[in-house]
Amino acid sequence: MVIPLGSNRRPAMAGPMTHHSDVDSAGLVDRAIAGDVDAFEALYRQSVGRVHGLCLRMCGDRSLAEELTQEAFVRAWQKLPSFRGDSAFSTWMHRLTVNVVLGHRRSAGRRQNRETAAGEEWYSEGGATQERPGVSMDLERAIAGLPKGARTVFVLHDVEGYKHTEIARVAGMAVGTSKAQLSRARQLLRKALAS
Amino acid sequence: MKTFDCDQVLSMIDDLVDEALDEHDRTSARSHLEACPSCRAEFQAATRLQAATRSLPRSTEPERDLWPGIAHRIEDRRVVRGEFERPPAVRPRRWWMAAAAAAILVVSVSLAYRAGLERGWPQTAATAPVESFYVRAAYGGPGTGLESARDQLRSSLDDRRDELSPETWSVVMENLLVIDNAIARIETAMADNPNDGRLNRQLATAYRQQINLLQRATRLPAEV
Ligand SMILES: [Zn+2]
Repeated sequence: MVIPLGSNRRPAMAGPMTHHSDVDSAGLVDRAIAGDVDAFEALYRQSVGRVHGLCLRMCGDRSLAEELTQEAFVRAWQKLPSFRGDSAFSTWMHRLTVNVVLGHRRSAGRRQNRETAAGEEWYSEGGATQERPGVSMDLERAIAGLPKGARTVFVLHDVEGYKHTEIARVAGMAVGTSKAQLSRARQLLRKALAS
Repeated sequence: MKTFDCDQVLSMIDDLVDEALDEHDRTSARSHLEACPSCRAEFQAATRLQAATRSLPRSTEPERDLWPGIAHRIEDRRVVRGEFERPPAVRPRRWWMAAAAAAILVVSVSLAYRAGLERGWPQTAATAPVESFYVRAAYGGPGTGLESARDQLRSSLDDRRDELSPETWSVVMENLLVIDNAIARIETAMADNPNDGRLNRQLATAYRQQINLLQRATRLPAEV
């Protein structure tokens, strides 16, 4: 009987973006590859906060972020057989999410217009998720108000810890452009927070 | 030591905050900051921004449970759902039935599977208009055509579950799973090359393999 299962997966390496639960995820990943939806749900529960947080900050629109979060997990389910286990599942999932968000943007559908330009949509309801101190709320609002390109680079570099070379690769831009966008984003944020 | 003017220092603020300057430039920039209140204010604002950014939570739970929507979309597209029982030790009375089913199913599936992965799927089944089929498959809508034919067969097979022995059932499910995995792999490749004609044909062929398998399985004689 031929049943392709994930081959011997190396234990997850600790890294900057490694989640503590990755040690448990390897077994779940194997089961999910074999078609076990319950195992995939467990992986979803482990990582949905990070995936959703990333989508929300990158696109600045609450309902679009929910849609992209779902899209990222559907894509992950489909691509799981190609997950080789040489990075942690959370790292793999994180990169896949970045690709989903950027791919959505590139596809330039009508939904693109939903990305907020004013940064007033999802923070205006007053910290719907949890109590957040004023400074960080102001900062979230200011990030959501950045132009798309600057916001993307700022979130990936300053919030998520990507290097310019990595951003250049995933976003298809020159390293110099990434640096310039970051500098522009920081300037705009300093100005927004000072006022 | 070099001396920098305000414009030079302002252009270096990012590198200063990121600690990306070499020692000489850093020392020179710092001495400018000590003497220049306006550049210093800008530098302090940049430092505050960095600290605030670092304290942002990277995780935000969605306000509603997004899992049901995901589960719906992924289960919709799979033939083998959840767990199916492993065959117990084959009981003598029925061993030939399970073996016969296995012989029919495994041969066709594993040949198709290997052929598909290594040399491209045989194109015998690619007679349907592939383009329109792919549109349905890719967007997972409640499609007609191959995908829904497959789903109908799957549900008639479910209706026969009580008539088939656990051994036979297990053989059928495992073989369907092999093709599910093949479909997942083809779709992975298609995510990067959505218009690749060969991949589109492979996907159509994989669906047809499942249909073929399901047709045979629904016609197996009752065992129980
Ligand atoms: Zn100055």
